[in-house]
Amino acid sequence: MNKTIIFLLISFLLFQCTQLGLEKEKSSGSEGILLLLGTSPSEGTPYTWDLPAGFPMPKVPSDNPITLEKVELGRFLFYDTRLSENETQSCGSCHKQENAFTDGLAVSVGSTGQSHPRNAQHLSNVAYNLRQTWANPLLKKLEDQARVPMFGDNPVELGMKDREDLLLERLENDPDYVSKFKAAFPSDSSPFSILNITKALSSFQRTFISGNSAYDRYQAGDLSALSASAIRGKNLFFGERGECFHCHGGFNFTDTILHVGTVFEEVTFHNNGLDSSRFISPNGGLYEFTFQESDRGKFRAPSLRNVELTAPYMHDGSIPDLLSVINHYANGGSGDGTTNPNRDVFVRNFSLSESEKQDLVEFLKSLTDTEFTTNPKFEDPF
Amino acid sequence: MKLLYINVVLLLLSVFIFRCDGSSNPNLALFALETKSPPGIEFSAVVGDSHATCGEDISGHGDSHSSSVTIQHVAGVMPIGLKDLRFYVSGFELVDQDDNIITLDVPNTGVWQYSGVALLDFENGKGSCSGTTETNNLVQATVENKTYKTLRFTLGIPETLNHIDYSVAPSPLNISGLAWGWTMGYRFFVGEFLSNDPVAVGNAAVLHIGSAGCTEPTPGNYSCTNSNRTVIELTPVDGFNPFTQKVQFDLKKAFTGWNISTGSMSCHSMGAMDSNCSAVYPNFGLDYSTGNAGSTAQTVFGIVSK
Repeated sequence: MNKTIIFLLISFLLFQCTQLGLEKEKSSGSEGILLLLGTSPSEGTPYTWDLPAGFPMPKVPSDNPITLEKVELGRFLFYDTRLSENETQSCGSCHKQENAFTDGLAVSVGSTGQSHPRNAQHLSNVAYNLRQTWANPLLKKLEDQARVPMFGDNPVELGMKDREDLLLERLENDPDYVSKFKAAFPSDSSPFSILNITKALSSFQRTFISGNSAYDRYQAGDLSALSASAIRGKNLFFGERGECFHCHGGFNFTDTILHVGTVFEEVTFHNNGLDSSRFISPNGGLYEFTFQESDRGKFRAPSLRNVELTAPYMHDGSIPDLLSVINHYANGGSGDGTTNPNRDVFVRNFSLSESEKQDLVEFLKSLTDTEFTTNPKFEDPF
Repeated sequence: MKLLYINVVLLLLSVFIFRCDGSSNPNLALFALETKSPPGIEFSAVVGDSHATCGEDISGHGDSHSSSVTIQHVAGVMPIGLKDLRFYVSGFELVDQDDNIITLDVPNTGVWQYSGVALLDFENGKGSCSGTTETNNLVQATVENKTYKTLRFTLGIPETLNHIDYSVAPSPLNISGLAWGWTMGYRFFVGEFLSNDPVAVGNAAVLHIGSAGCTEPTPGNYSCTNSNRTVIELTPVDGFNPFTQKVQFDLKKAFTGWNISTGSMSCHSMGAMDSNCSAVYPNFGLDYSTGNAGSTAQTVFGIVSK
């Protein structure tokens, strides 16, 4: 029965094309046939990556190929306050471009005023994250992560729990979104869905590539891009005295990376020697998932890209500036964190002169990419 | 005239049969109509002596102050307002008088039931309730009009369904208020209320039960150290007849051990992060430290007359 209908439809489309004799009509007709046969010929215009030198191709989930149309839709959704129940906040409220997509707060505040237990993550090069968020081993894809701020109630972020219908209704009633959703999900008979919202948001976030800092220009051969102090700091960072690179290595300055060439996924979380008072509920870190005491206080080492712009630091925003962070590590931790049995082996006391600390700060500042923070493609479109 | 009469009867009969067409078993549909009772297991929700309803003060659940025994529960004698009360049930079994175990077929309905899991929903989004408009108090299933020894079911979603993508899952597994995106799983039970008493107004009780300690050692294969699925077994002295009796959930009994007269209480099933859970989990027959059956029997569900 179904086969007959498909056959008739195909014949009809073919007939129509040949009758009209128009090349354009013919191509759209054959697209229709492909759709009917269940193969998706095109999800839109494939997004072309413009990657900095040394950056591998990001691994995009096969069920959400990145297209220009999805990126465009995602940009609007990312900055749309209609994604919060009381229409006061958007994703962009806690992820501001000028701060490399964090918010400058110790901990973020949700749309209803509730404080989040965690410091908002920056979103530079988030496409390469093996895991999202500070310590959740389960949130691998941006698509999965996007549902937490939208629908979570512990804490409330955007406050859309049980309000899927309201959210979809708001968007469906906007003619601009009608065309954008159709363009982003052309083969979807009902493109307005929570899944598609998360797909578009993720596609937009995957374009947040940051790789044109002074450090990158220096690496590319412009030896004048770094000051003498920053170069000394770089040597400390990558040297055996600082050992910073163990957790913050590679092109993205982290130890957990995912790209198309990744064969073995190495997922690591570290206890970086903060005082144990920083690991109380609900900031237990990896422990919250494994219930293993040895995982208490273990968090993901974030990328240090644009780190100058993402203060305050640590999972709870408890360290105000870069010099304080360096002092924390040079001291081998803070408070009883220096004797914490979970403390990472690379967090250990080492001596640095004050000018060397300043050199390290200068190096970290050289990871700032102002092209990224002013790129009009990432700006609020409203 | 007689011919006309026969024709009318035939017509009515055909309409009747036509109406039955589409149900999986016309005979059972007729049987159900005959007894005027929906085929399935009916549930209700109370708070002590009061119905658990949205949009109004619920009182009558406190114990007398003159009692020499101090019992902490819900909120003592203070009036409360319901915020949310929804839970998933699955794995229904009946045990007949001859000890035969009958596994209930809980069919997919496209709305409240999927793959043997049903959602019971006692909040309607009105007043202080925060969920959806729709409610459901029935697990649709084929049951016989007779008295069984035992009714058994699981409060929760089987592990095989617990980590599916809720944004594309069939109803009722696609409701954000029941999804626990943080653990890529579901909340099996959501019970929330707040105090409407002037001296403790706004103090809330929030209880979310779901599997915790979840990791994904290999892609797609989740493993949770604490399943937190409780098997509710009800064996009333006089047996259980689904046509004349129903299952009653008591919010007061569920929250025994918590007192919100001095501050809010919450449990999100997050392991040792959630110290308040250990007081209320035993009410469900669960040991909070392991997530398995505990040393005390559940008290929150019982059998009552319809």
